[in-house]
Parts: sequence; C-alpha cells; structure tokens
Amino acid sequence: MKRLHQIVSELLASGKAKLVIGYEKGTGEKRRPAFISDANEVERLVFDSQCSHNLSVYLTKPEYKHVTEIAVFATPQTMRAVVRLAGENQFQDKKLSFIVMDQDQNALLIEGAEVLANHLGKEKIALSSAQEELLAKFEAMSREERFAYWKEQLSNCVKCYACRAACPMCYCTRCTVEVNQPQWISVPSSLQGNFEYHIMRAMHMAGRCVDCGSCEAACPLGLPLNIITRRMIKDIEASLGPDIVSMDTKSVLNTFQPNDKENFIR
Amino acid sequence: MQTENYTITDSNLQQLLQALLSSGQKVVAPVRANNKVLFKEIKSASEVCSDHVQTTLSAKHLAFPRTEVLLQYKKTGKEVTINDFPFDAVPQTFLWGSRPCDAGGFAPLDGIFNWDSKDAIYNKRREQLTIISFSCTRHDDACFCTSMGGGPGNTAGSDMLITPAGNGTNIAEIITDKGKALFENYTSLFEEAMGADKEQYLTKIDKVFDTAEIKAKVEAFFESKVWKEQSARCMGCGACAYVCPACACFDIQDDKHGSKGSRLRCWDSCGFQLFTLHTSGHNPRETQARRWRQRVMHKFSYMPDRINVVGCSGCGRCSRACPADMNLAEHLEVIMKMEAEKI
Repeated sequence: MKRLHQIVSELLASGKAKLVIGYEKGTGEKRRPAFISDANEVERLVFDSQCSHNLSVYLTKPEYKHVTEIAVFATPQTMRAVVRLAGENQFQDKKLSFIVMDQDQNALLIEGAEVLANHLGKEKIALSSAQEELLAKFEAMSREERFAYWKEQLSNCVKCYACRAACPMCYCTRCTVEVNQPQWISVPSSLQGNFEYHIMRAMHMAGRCVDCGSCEAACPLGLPLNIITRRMIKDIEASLGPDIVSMDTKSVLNTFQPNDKENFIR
Repeated sequence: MQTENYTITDSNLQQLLQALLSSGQKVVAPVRANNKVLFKEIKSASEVCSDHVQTTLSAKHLAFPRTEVLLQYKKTGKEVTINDFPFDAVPQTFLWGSRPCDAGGFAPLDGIFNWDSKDAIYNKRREQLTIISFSCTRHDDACFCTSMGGGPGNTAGSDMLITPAGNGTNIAEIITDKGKALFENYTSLFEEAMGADKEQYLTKIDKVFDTAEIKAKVEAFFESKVWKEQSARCMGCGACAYVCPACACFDIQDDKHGSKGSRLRCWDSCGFQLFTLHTSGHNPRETQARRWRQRVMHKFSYMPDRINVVGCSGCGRCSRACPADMNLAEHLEVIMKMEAEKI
C-alpha cells in the first residue's frame, strides 16, 4: 500500500489530480468507492483483489463532470470501460490518470486514456469457461422455457435502476426511460414494463458492454443480467468477429459501412 | 387491547399456517429464490424460509404495491366511463414470518397515507392485512432497530408476535384485535403461557443512538459538508428507497391505450435525478448530495415533525442493498459524533 499512497500523494501535491477516486474499507469485509482530494487522507485508500466496483462510472456523473483532473483506481474491467468511454469521446475535457495493479500487485501510475489503452493492448472480451457453461445451459433451454425463465426473473425487477446507475456505459444525461413525450418505455414496474426496460438497455449495450459485471453486482434482487450482455458479446463475435476494446473500434449498432456484407443495409 | 401471552409448539405453529392455507386464505411469507429471500404468496407451508436474517424487499407492497391501478377509464364518443378502485376485491391477507422491523415499518406509511387526506386504497389494504411476526434470534451488521426505538422482540405493528423459545416451543403474544380474531379461530393450537421472559431468546443489538438526538443533529448540520462527503459514492439509483419499508414516495402515471387506460400509482425514489426536476428545467436538488440530505432529513426530521413517527425502523435493508455500500447506521453514527465547529 505504501507505493500506492505515495503515487496518490504525489498526484494530489502536483495538481495532476484534484480528485482521486479509489477504494477504502467498507462494511464488514467489503471494499467501497472512496473520494479523496486531500493528501492527508491517502491512508484511507486500499487496492486489493476484493476491490471490484467499476469506478469509471463516476467520471460521467454530473457531480464529477466538471472536475478535469481525476485519478482513478482501475481494475481490468475499469480499464476496458475507460478505453470504450474514451473511444466514445467522453473524456475530451479531462486529464485523467489511472492507478493500476501490475502482475506482482504493485501500484502503477498510467497517465492519460491513450496510454491506458496501450497498456491494456487490443484486449478481446472473452467469456470465462464458467460463463460459457452458464450460457450453454441457458441455450439448451427451449424458447418457451427461456421465456418462462425471464418472466419469472423480471417479475422481481422493481425498476430501481441500480443496473443503469452502476453501468459505466449508461451515461446519457436523460435516459429513454425518463423521456415522457413521447413515452417510449412504460414507467411502472410491471412485467411488460420491466421487459421493455431490460430489452432497451440490452440494445443500447450491444457492442459497447465491456462485461465488467457491474449491473448484475448492483442489482439488489440478484437478477442474472449478465446472461443478456454476455449472450450479446457471443452473438457479436459470431457475426462480426472478436469484440475488441480499443479507442478506435466502433460499437456494432453505431456503425455503417457501405461495403457491409448484408444486403438489407444498403 | 392488552397483550395476551400463550405458548405454541413448533408443530402447532405449522398447523396454524397450514390451516390458514387450507381455508383458502391469502398468505404471504418469506420465500427463497435466486439466493434472495422475498415475501411471496405461498400455497404450502414448506415454502416458508426461516433461516434468513431479513428479506431483500420489505413487506410494504402489501399495502403500497410497487404499481397499482387506482382507476380505469374508457371513452366512447363523448362519454367517459370511470371504473373506480375495486375495494371489495382486496383480499384478506396474512403476512407470516415478518420481522418486528417489518411490522414497525408500517407506522410511517400509516402516517403518510393518512397525513392530510385519508388514502382509502391504502387503508383498505391495511385493514385487510394481519401481521404475524417472528422475533429475531440473530441479526447482521446492517441491523440497528434498537437505535430506532424498536427491537428484536418489539410488538409494535404486529398483530401476533411469535418468539422461538427453543425445545420446539414458542411464545405467542396476541397484540391486537386482528391477532385476537386469528387466535380465537384456532384456540386449540395454543397453550397457557409458560411465564418465561422472551428477552432471553432474542438476539442482542446494541443501541448506538437515539432518534431524538439524531433529529437535533441532522437539523443542526443541514449546511454541513457531511452530506456531500457521505454521498460522494452514491450512484443515484433507487435501491435504498425501493427496499425500504417506510419510503412512501410515489409517481402517478397514466397508462394509455387509445381511448382507454389506467391511472397508476408507482413507487418513486428521492435518489433519482428526475425526482424534483421542475418543468422549467430547474432542479432544487440538483446533486446527489442534496438528494441524500433530503432522504435523511425526511426520515429523521420532517416525518417526526409532521406525522410524529421516525421514517426508519432500523431494518438495514438500504445498507444491504446499496451497490456503493452506503451504510445508513454508519452515516448516522458519524453525524451523531459531529461537533458544531466541524461544519
């Protein structure tokens, strides 16, 4: 932790960071996001294998949008989100630094999203064997079984929007669910409204989701939301090739190419 | 009424539940699903989960559903037909296996829904609800009922309270007329009180603060930077409000389908960015810090002022559900320890 605290102290002292978004000890054994702008508080910060929140979610929140110099503790999932967000031009006014853990669990300072993108390399989002197994189990179900499964799951959704709030890629200043003229998505938490919301969210995540798992982790009801996003990642890979996180890859639903192999698009 | 004490064995307790189910009554109890425990309507006594500390969602939906149809309308030419809320269709419901903090959570709702106008729909659902709570024999890090004036064996809000006393027996307290009515239907299942003090069977939760002290503190620290510090990690979802037994904010929506539709009442949350957004575009609570302050002030200052009840039963659900680990008891403790000069 000493090296970590030293890096943070230097960032704050030099003014390279006005705000540091890291982790601290939370309730029980939990780790939670910590916000520090005073070098005297660096001792609070921890960065270990239990730290799991994707802190890049805060960079686009209205509370932190105006802060230019921010340092963020970045797990591999956070790095992927940062690179995608940078690719979507979300950090044009920002001077960001990142603190990552190298293979030997030493804190490493990376300055700028471009450098972070290089550090990450051309990472392909790949599912773990456990995730593949879960998906395979799910795909073995009949269409009716799957529909029954989602009806059961989504009937528990209360539309607290924790999945949306925790998702780094959900940064719209006004979400479709909050537009009421016209009303695209029905507001009440009913089975139909819940389906509409989750389908809409899935569509907006296609080719953008970095599989950080924040939506599912945030859901107070434990809904298996990652089944949806992971299935999309597989579909994208099957139709369009590996889902690579880099500054210059465009999202699937945002891209048009005149030489597309599908005829209907022309 | 004066609380009456009896004893009931584990097997007779099961029989009581079975008898309610067999007589076709609607019974809602904690059920395990998805590694979460939720209050659901049950058809069999075996569905009931009893090894949990707390359900993820409260039982408030039994009186204040997350979405409910207040009325339905239909236009035919120039004629409008309105179908009012079907009061007679609200079934008698037995809430089985709630905790004292669930039962206690209905007091703030009762206050809010009867504050100025009396909410006939809410009151009808409450009238039809009989609450059979079970005292807590264990708790977790998030529980703080004793600091909110409740406790693991508190009777307030329950119609009947069962305290497991070991050796297959339970202490049964009949607290209200509704509890008495249930008891009288199944008197043979109960035995004379054994005279044991229930306290010895309850889990011990330290009282850390006092509601009157909190009220004074949050009011004194209205302008403090503490709200911003504590809410820095708040992501702006509605999880805390939706799991809370005492949060009563709602949103009225019209679900329109051509010439007919329904007027709905849906849960809402003060944590949402849209919650206080004015038509002009101005939002008096523009930041998460102001929304967090509102949440705390509402529960611990405004509600005691207006309806004479604290808007929190210390169930700890918000702390368990928060994806950013905002722990209400911990935050209140920080505020309690603050001194004037540190504003």
